[in-house]
Amino acid sequence: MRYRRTPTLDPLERLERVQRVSETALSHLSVDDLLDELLIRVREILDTDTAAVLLLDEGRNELVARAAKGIEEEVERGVRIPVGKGFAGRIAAERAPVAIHRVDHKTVLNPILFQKGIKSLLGVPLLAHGDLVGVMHVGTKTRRRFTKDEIELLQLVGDRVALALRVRLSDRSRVVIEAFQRTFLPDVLPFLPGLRVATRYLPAATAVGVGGDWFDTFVRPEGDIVLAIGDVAGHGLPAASLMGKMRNALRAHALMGGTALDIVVRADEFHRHFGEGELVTLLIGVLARDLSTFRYVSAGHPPPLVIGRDGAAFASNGHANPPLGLPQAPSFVEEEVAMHAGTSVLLYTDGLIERREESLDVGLERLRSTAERVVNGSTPNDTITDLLERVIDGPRPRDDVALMLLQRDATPATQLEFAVDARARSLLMIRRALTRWLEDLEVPRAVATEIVMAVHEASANVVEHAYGPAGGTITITATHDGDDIEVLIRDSGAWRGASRGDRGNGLKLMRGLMDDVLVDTSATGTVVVLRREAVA
Amino acid sequence: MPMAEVRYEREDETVVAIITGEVDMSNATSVRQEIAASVTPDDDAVIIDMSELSFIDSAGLHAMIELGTVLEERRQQLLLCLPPKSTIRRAIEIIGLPHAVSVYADRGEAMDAVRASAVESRPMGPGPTENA
Repeated sequence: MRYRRTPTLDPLERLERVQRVSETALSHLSVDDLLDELLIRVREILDTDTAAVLLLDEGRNELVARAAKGIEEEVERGVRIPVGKGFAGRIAAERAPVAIHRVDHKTVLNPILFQKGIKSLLGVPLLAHGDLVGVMHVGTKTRRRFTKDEIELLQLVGDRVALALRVRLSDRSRVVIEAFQRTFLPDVLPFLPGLRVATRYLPAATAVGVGGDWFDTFVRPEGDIVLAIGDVAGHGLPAASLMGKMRNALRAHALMGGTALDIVVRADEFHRHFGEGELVTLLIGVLARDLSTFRYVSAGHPPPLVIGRDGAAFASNGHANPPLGLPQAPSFVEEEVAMHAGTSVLLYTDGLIERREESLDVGLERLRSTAERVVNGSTPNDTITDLLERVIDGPRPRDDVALMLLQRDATPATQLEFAVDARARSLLMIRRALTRWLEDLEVPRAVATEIVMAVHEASANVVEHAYGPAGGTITITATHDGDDIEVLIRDSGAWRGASRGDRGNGLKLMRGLMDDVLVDTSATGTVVVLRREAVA
Repeated sequence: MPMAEVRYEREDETVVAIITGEVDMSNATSVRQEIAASVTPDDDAVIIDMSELSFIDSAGLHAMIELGTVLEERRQQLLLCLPPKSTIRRAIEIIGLPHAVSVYADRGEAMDAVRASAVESRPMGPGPTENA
């Protein structure tokens, strides 16, 4: 047997060559181009016949051949090596270099390596900040004992490659997961007079952290508001897709009606039947239509933080429900928060309170005391920004953070303004919003129902006549001024056949129910102004 | 979605339809058709009890008027029940109802009216001319 000696490289030259591998000239390259370029250089520096990189497929815990020189077939055939099996699998499992100077079927799993006549192999793990990214190995067609220096050199290159790969791969998978996850977050927040809702989703700093957190909020046909926030264990695409599954199931469960408890019991049953044992925590809350109470069930989720006039406190009587999907259905307990005027409720995921080096209690207290200082008269959106800045105070967290803040106005707004699609289905929402606002202002019920009827008629006319099939919007501006309620119903349509469908009754009703009715049509649209004294 | 429910009771040859929920332009036609489908050619009258209805708009009222007109052509009466001080009653007063539809405070009054007119229209009984 002839052992080939590696050409002797002086230490300076070696270092220079390693530098070249990671130099900035490579930084603009794509993953594949980077690996190609790199393997050529590695083969040259160590004078080997082959060089290959396998990347870790986290989901399947397998190594997948991604780039190779001298054994290109490995990539073409999409070779997959389970972590722990064979030569590359052993490197991945042990996270340490492995050198084999006599390759045979006992030491190597991949048949391509024999077919190519490879006699000796050296491989190193690709580790970025301690996380395994993949494995890089080199091979020779002649027997060779790799020296300690050579092993160190390959590991040095491997470390740099791992970091470069990590940035590239994580940027890409991160974009995909984030985009995927964002499609599951609500893009329209519920609108109800007297209530303001703000939400925020902060993806984790690294791609491996992204994926598990979600929230959802919507108004049910009954007029109450469902709020959900949750966290599924794990990260990356599997966690993001499980999150999507839970969220959609929950919407269906919530639409069946019932209390927060009913919804959680259904979600628990769903996860026990369809889940695969993943840890899922969530909190479901239902805010009553009149905004007076917020009833919630937390299934293993941190408690809501309630901020009122007397300060901030976690809403929990000490009972802790387990997460979803345990083999035996637990008896969940529902809790209630009284929503006085000016009360805020913060829902969040544990990314907000967890820091590696401290206990959960410290994180909870930091959130509580910060919220007490921050949550004040500013808009919920500004409040969330402020809160995040102060609570996180440093680099982006390693874990996702999701936040929802609902705030009940301290005093009834003297003005209510909102816009809806000019569709028949929007009329119910207009009536609901206006009714709630008039209730807040303590306008006598009989007067309120007449105002609502008149505004409905004006809005129904917009739905029927203002726009073509392409549609448009109705903007409602209601103002409480002294004893008067004034409501403007605006559109930007061209109005066709107004007299045809109205049968004259809409306008007749408005005139009969209100003190003043003014219709102002211009080139840019129509405004109907309705005025009514708000006393019985 | 605004949803209205209609439940039915019968008293002799009279259909009593009790509407609950809300009726607006999005469901007025279907509510009218549903009630119309519950009436047989043998029925004398239809009483629509709207006292539990929480909202109806002009399109909904128009649908009731249309139903009344169709029933009148078949010599069937349409009677609406609404408490005197309700907003819906007020709306009806503003819009005005055709001859084919009449309004009563409750089902008792409406049933009395149906019986009275049945007596009036009975061929052997005293004719309407006597009351005129």
